[in-house]
Amino acid sequence: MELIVNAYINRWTIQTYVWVLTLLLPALVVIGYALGAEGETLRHLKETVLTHTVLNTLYLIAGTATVASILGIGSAYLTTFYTFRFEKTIALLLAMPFVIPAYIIGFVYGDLFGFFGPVHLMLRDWGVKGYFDVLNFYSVVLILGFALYPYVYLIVKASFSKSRSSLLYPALNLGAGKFRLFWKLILPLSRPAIAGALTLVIMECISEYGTVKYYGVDTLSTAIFTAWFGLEDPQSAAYIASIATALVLFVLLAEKFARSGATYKSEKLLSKIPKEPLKGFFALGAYLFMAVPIMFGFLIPLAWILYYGVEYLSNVMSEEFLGVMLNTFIVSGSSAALIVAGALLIGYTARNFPYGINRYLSKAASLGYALPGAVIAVGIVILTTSYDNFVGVNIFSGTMAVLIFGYVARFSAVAINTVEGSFERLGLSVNKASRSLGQSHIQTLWRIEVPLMKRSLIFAYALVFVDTIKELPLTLILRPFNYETLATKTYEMAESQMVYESSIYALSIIFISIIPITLTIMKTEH
Amino acid sequence: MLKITNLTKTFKMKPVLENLSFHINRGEIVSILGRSGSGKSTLLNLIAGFERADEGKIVLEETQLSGGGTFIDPSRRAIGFVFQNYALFPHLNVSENIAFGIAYLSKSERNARVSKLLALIGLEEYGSKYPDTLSGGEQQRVALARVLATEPSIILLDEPFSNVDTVLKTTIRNELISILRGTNATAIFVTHDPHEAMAISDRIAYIDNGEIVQFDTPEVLYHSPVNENIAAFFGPINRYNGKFVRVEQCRVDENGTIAAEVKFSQFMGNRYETTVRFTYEGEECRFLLYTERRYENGEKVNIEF
Repeated sequence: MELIVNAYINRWTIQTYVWVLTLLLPALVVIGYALGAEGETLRHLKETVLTHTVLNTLYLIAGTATVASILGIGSAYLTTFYTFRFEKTIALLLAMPFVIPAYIIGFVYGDLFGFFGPVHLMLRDWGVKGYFDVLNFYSVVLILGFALYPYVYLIVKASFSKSRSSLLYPALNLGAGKFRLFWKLILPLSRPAIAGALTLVIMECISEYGTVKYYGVDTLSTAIFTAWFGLEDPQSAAYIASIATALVLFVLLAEKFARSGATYKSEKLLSKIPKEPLKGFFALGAYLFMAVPIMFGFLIPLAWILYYGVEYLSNVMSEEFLGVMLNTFIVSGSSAALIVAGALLIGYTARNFPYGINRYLSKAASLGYALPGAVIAVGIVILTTSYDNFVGVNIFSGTMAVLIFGYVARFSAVAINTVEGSFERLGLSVNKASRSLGQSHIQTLWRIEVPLMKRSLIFAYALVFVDTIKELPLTLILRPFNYETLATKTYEMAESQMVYESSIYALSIIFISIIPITLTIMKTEH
Repeated sequence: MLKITNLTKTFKMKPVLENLSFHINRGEIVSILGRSGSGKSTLLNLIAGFERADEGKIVLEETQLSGGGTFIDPSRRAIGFVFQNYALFPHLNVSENIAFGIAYLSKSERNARVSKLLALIGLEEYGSKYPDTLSGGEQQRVALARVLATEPSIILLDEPFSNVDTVLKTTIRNELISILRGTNATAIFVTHDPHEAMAISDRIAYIDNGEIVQFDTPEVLYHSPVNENIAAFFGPINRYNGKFVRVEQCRVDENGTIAAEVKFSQFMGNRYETTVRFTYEGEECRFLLYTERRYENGEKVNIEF
């Protein structure tokens, strides 16, 4: 006979609490550590770096959000309300920059517009004198804008296509013109979606490391690295990391505020408004508008990477490449497995014991996704080194376990989302049926739910796998000494002027990402 | 056999079940009948152990399942549950579904029991089929067989016929009941359909606002309901002076003592329904009558009840 005191304290919930707490630990450590910060370095930090980096980060956020909004909302509007030739292909291509990590797009343009790059060579051929340097703040804004606008595009498009004809027809009938309709009705109705999408863009901006570093822009993210590797001052690093955390929390609160009162978002779609064909000059303008992000965010970088990737294809058989590939698959593969298992645990508890704090477990466990990779990394290093120092034996420091912990803390959200959705679709009755037929929770999960959720679980695994492969800053900080993954190798080669040789690593990242990400895009389209 | 004492359950400060007590004998088929939101499904979930009671005891064959610090997990209660949507496991075939709860048996014993049950539900040839290829009625019989396989002390059925096609409902219901009767099972049905409850049960517990208002045989509930609410729930009634009478007990009678005036009369297929108006003990009344012909509006008739 099993004696259970209440719904909070049983084997399932306790295991879940421990897991969620583990995921939250890095962020908590960073904040705790930063609160205790003091001393000379810190004062120095405040006087010199801090204002400058905070301002840079804010400018970067403002610039990128603007570019991403214009490109994202514009193309979402065109693809939702108009019909045109190659509509489906263009709609898919518009989302494709997702496949290429921002830092890779950055390296490509760094090379294309570099002193020895094709653009300057061509200009010199034409007799144009002088040289313009693209390694500046504005380039970063454009690059991040091109890399991140798909968030806005996909989320806002999903919201636009839910605009109900029941609302739009009366407005049209009342004599509102197309553009007034867009400004006065469609856009305000999509406010929650836009706020949500921009939150994601902003969080990516705060987290971004590869591009800003390469283009020489100091942000909070690079400042963490400088404090950590340059000054070897963990307290300062934690302090900067906690400022980044505060910024993220502020953005999340702002989003909640922007969404509040938006009760109309959950209303059901009654019927879609019919699309109008694009005509005349407007059509030409629309094609050009959509061509810009597709060209600069996807086709040009992809062409560059393919061109050099093919040139260096023979390197694929090199021991170095295979080693990097193996490293990547080991850490990402095992992290993704842990993440999906943890998501099953959290999802099962949240659904079967939906009481009190259990309802907020998945939200809490998803916090890591909002935080910059560098912040989580700093938290984990502080945590593990303190532990190792405390026990006097080197258990964690510099091991693969630390890196895996980092991925798990940062990327659990994606899997939790997918798994929770799958649990919801499955419903509770097969679970109850199995348990009333004498099966325990774990037997039920294993015999019924895992087989029925197989596709979602594989999908969650693939998504998380891709996320971890692309992650740069966290990997740079947490990897064991000399342990190279695809992301770190791409970055380091590009940094040390071996950008052509790096193409094969970049190509591998894209190659691995393309199928899961395309599937996600097509899923959101529906 | 199943004894429930002072069961209380509250959701978000709102009492759903209050101080509920009753007991069920072995081999009995009992319906929990009530409108939606009356707490009947909660009662079933408490008995099965899917939810925990705030107070009160549930005892099944001398074993205390719930109450006084005890709570036995649903997996160890030996209670069968047939779900509204049947909840068959879609990735397992019919045989595997039926064998699901008896994995502890040897393979040959398991197979023997599955074949026996397939025969019982008349689906001998369906063992290797998958649930989504079966009709609603077939799925339901498989769900019942799956539960019977574990030889439960009691079987709970949550609105088992609410998803069944109206035309086939009676047939499917009769099949299910004859299987249950054939195995001498003790069963509790939850339903909101009074006709269904009367057709299938030995006794009916009418539940309203979390309390059992009346618990008796179908005949007693129909003919001697303890209040007007129950009376109206089981069939149309005519109200007069704070009292009520069943519509079929009222009739047009040449020698009737009450003089009434016809308001209107309409044809309903197997009968006519005639509404009349009259004064009874100084009060204006309006009655519905089942009649054999159409009456003219304003026609004078004598009635009796």
